[in-house]
Amino acid sequence: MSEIETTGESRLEAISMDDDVVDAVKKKLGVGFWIAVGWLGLLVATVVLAPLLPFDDPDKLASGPARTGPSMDNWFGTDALGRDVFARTVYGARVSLVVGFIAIAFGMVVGGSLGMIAGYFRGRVDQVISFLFFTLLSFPGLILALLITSTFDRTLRTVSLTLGVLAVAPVGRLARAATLVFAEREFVQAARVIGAKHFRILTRELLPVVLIPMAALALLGMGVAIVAEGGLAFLQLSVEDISWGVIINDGRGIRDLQENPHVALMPIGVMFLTILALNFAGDRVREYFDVRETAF
Amino acid sequence: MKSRTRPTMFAQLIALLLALSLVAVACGGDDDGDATGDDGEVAVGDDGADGDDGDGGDDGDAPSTTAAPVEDVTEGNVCIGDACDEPSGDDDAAPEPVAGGTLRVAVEAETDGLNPAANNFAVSAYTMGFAIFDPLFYIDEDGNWFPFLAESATPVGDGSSWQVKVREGITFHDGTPLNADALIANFETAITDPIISLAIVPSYPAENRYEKIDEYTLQYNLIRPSAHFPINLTAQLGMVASPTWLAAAAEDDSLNQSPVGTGPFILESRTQDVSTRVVKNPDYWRGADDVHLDAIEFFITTDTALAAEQVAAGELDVVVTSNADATLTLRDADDVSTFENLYSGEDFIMLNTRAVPMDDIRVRQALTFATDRQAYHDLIGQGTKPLADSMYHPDLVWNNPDVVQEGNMFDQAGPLVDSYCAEFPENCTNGKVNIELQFSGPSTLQTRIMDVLSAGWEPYFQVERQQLPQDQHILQTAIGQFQVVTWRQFGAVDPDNEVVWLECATATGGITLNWVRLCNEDRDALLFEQRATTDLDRRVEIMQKIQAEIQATYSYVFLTHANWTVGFRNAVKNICGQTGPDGVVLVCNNQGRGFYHNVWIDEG
Amino acid sequence: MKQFILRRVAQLVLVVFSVTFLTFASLNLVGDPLFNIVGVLSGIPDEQCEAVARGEIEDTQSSGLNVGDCALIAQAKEQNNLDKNVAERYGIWLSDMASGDFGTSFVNGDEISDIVKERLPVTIRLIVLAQIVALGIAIPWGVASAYRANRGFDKASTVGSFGLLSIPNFALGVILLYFFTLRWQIFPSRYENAGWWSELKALTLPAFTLGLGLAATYQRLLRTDLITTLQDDFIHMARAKGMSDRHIMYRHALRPSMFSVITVFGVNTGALIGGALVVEQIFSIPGVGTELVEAVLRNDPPVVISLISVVAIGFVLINFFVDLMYGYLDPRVRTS
Repeated sequence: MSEIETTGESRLEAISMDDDVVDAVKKKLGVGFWIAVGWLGLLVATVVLAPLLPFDDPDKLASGPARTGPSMDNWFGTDALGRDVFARTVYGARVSLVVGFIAIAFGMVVGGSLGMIAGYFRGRVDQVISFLFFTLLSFPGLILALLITSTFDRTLRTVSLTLGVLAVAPVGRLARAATLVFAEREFVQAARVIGAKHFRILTRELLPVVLIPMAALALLGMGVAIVAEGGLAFLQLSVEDISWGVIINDGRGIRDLQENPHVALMPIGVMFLTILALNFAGDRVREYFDVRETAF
Repeated sequence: MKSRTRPTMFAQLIALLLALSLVAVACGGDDDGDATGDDGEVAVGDDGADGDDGDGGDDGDAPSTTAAPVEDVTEGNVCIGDACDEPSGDDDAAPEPVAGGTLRVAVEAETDGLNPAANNFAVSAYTMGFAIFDPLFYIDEDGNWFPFLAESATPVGDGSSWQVKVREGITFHDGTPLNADALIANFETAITDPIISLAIVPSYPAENRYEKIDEYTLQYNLIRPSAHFPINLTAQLGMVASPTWLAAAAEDDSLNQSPVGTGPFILESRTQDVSTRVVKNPDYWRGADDVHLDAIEFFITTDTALAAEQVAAGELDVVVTSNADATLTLRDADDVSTFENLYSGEDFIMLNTRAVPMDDIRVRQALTFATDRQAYHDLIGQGTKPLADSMYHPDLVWNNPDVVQEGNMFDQAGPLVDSYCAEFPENCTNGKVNIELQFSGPSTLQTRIMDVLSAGWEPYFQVERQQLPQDQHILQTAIGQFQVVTWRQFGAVDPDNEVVWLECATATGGITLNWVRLCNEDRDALLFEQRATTDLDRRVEIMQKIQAEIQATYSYVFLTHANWTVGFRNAVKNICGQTGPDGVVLVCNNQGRGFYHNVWIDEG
Repeated sequence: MKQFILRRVAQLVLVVFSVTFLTFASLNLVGDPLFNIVGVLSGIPDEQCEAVARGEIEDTQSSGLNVGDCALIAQAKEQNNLDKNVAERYGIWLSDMASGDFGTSFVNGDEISDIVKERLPVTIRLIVLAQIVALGIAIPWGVASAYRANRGFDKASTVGSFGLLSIPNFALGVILLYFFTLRWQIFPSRYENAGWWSELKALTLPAFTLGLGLAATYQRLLRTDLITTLQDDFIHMARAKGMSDRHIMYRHALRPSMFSVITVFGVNTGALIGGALVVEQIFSIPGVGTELVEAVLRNDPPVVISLISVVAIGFVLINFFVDLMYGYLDPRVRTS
């Protein structure tokens, strides 16, 4: 291992896969896992179908009297401008989920590739890439996001990619550590012996096995990205559109909390359940494949 | 990089705009937005606004409209709460003041510094500044100016020159005597300041701007005759600072944080962005006995709704706000009362008449018709401030009752938009006119205001929002890089103070306070006619004409009368009813700017 | 050991350089720094000012300029070294910064070193308090769940820690503010620094907001490590000697089980710094976080660059010391 590898964080991603993956399959994912997946599925379906469903326009003023609590007409009540908080929460989920998904996808593609290259080739390449990861991790996450969004703009693309950049180093480290382990395995060595090209070994032999621990991290990471987007939105530094952070921020004024706390608390509840589902599902997947890692 | 000590040019440009209002401004060009917090106020353009609350005229025979306190918000200047029934300071049955204690005041924003000759004063700076500095003149409860630190002001000839005599025997906190030379030092400092000079130079000739008459008298020479000069010295430009300190501060910027004046309180400590503490001046020239408090502590609380809650919880004593949420919280709270003033400012939308597509009156009309004033009133004002029809509250003598602001006439917007888009399809998308709505943020309140306005406009306009930090928002507005903005200003005691927003002089230039860039030579002639006269009827007639003319141009959409609220715990006594040097009762709650000379705390 | 430290120091220096350069460059390469200083004047083409300098045109209204515009631009460029390239500017900035001169704000001219001196201690106190809260909760909690692993309490703990880890800190902040400040009025809604007691009261809720999630992280790590430790022989020996369970858990088992917690201490401090951005905002605490967000919003690159650099360097240093400590505790790391 290179010397950078031995720093504090990296040890967390030390990874041990069961030698016999078949053993793992016998374990169960459990009911909780399926409840979590069910919630996520329901959320995604609602968000996708929102325009077709009979929800209020989230921007429409006075969908009901301003600042009223939950009722049959307005399930989550109305906000200070009389808008339907349920409709806003559903539309807010759109931004939150899209950002979370793109961010982690970017982290997987870029971080995963870099990490695998580092772990596979080692030496100088590894040192450079590991140092890049180390530097990225030397910024407290939200601070780095702040730096990037303040340098560029606040479009959906920028915010998603910014959070994607945050995901690069943790995903990359995991991919690198996994690659280091698997590159020593017989099936990789065998491929080398028969003269397979590096690219082929990386994509055909290593990628499928490295993807498993990354999938667990992806679920957890998506939760982290959604929270980070919420944090930026809360600071009004995220996308200029409805997102959960925006609704919560709108409802956290002192008078709003007193008169109509549901404006903040309802989206907080939905967000909490979503992050919980992602964390739980990620944790189950991790245990299912017995992947040990804790840092993200 | 060590040399970068002066405020930079960007800051200077902004400050310039703020400072331009020093001379003749009544109410600030506040954008109804805020500096950093979530409340709707801070007043950048309030800087240098000179003091007046919207009632009455400027001289003795102007009728006062300050109503007796009643619990009815449709009245413009009222007290709401238990404290209102108590007799105030000038009353015969005045209760005995209690000496001692520290008053905790929430101010909504921090100021660059507290040097009246070098920093720009907004409402927060005034609140702190009036404790430390005395103004040469101030405004009484009838809206007339009266000498404060000055002993007298006398026009010379047609009013092109004014002689100001200061009181004898007064010294600054550092022992420097107050005299004509001190006035000169203040004037010279202000005029050499790259920013504030811009507020002074236009009113004065290139040379012989002043003349020392004797030890205590200075004559100011103006370009144009004015019947109302002292009212310009009731605010920042009238605050007199120690010449010794001014000289030192000119060398070392950081001294702007430790002001030296003649006021009833002396600066003790100041932590920027957190708090400023002043303590009683034992040698106050008006007699230290009338200064009841031991100290005042000013806390920066950008979210005044939060500050209102803190006053309600007894964690603070006083808060100044124009945020409806804060006002309502204060009204709801036990043991808290408010003074609310609807005369000293208007909330409105401005349209840049020289920017495409707002240069076409059809678009301005359509936008006006599609403006949901009622929603603004209901959802933003929440019943704390009534709809406005013009730049004056109906209670005021200047108001033209025939002028009615249009709005909520959605069906009339469509045909205008259609006709415009037929002619200029390049400025339209899907039959809607493309417009850019600029506002300052981030701010929850500003975002809500934009949401409310957009909801009305969106059927006819393709609205693109541009959120800018407040100073850039003001800069962009001043240099004409805007189409539609929300704003707050107007509502002056003296209509002369509105001239700066309306005159042609700078309307064609790059930077102007005539934000909407509408020039009318005839209107200018009227404005200057009222400046030179003290004939109230004629001035009223002129201002009423001007309101009608403004309405016809569709360059402003008036929304509501701003509600300046001073909220205070009932234990805080004598917020209103404080007196000047000769027993004159001061105007109370003038745009929230506070005097705390005679305030006391009686927890009784 | 000496060589180990040397290697770490070299790495530290390299990281500090890259972190500061990244920060400096990002805000200097993108956008026009001149605009931030002189505003719209930055739009005046260079050729026009060069022509003025050569005396070919007058800088008066007729040429669309105001008298002195070009002089101001030149002055701004010179004072901020804008005529030099980014690498040179970075060098100047870094050496100034090393000597304690952080420059001044573009917007209000404040000395940045004063801002740092004023703001940083508040944030540090908040973060330290948050760590204390986290450890204060996590240790007894972790011990209790490991003590009867997989029993009722432990299972409930797992659910509880999952819950805590799933609440975004801004949401938790809003909830705590709602209940403890508004509903029950237990804590003040205003930050006050009149002595340590008032500050402690003001920082308690924010510290809990930051610390609760972290407590769950620590608890989970501690629980796992404790369960492993409890299998060790020396624990069995202690048991055999008849020591009380409490004594064994806290005196013998706890210390060797703190390894993972120490490892993540550094990383989590980073999470706390990020969290402080949001939490300081919710509770209106005048720390680095609020100032940083304000500086970003008012487009004030010198302040943003300096604050981010200070925070990032602090973070790197913390990780550096955690790492040294780790190396000290675990000989294997040193020799690798």
